Amino acid sequence: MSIWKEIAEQQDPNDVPMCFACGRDNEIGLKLEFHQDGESVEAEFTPGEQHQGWPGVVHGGIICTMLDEVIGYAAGFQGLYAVTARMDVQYKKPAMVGKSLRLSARVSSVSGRDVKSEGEIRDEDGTLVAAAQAELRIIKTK
Amino acid sequence: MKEWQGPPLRDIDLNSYTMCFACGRDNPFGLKLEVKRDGDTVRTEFTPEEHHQGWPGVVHGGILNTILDEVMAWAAIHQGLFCVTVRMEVRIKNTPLVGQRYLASARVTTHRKRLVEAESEITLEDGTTIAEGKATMYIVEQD
Repeated sequence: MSIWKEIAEQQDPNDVPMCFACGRDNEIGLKLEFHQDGESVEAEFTPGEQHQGWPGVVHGGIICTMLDEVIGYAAGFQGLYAVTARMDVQYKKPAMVGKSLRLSARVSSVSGRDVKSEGEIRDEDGTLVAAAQAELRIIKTK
Repeated sequence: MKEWQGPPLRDIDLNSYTMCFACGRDNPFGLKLEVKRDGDTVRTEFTPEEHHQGWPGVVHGGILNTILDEVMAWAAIHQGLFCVTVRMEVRIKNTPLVGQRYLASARVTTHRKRLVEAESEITLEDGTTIAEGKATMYIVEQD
């Protein structure tokens, strides 16, 4: 059995305590908490020193992790539990350690098992830090 | 990325800076990647554990992205180009399971003026492609 079939059949998609991005029990994870605001899904996160690449600057991979997650949650909040197949990320401005970031995403289209979703990260001033567009494949629907 | 607000990159002693999330050997949360040069290519390897997962048993896309971003940055550093990523495209080709050993590699494909383009991939030991990345990086400083 493929792992996706196993996850679809056995996993409560709202209970992933070891997820690196959102798992409440993952000691090294980001522990992101998402909430819905209309069609948008949002979260806030303040990166620490452990999330840097260049000194004082948040690692591009952590930015990607936040975007991948908020994009996935935008689909999940519509009952479309999915896995990312492709993501395009544009970095607009360095994110600095210790400065809070606001994440948001929304689903832009659904076609069969394919979902397109867009996400962005802004800093405290509302300035765009990074944006992403992703294509996801649905593994389970509510 | 016109307004770089980080530190002067060439002043960083890359042997003693150990807090990078991807490659810092003293970052308790980090991946501790050891990136090695092999001609024009850079290579690393990583065996993800449970706390690197997204869906149970499957490596988080963000961890794959982190590895790809890191090896592409090092491919540029080895050419004396200290960069930040401005655009990255990642395609996940096969499901990355936790606990398997993954090989990652990257190389610079083009370099003109202040921009560098690089390609990268993550494979299994048997050569199966797991993820492919392409990045455009902005040169903050160069040797």
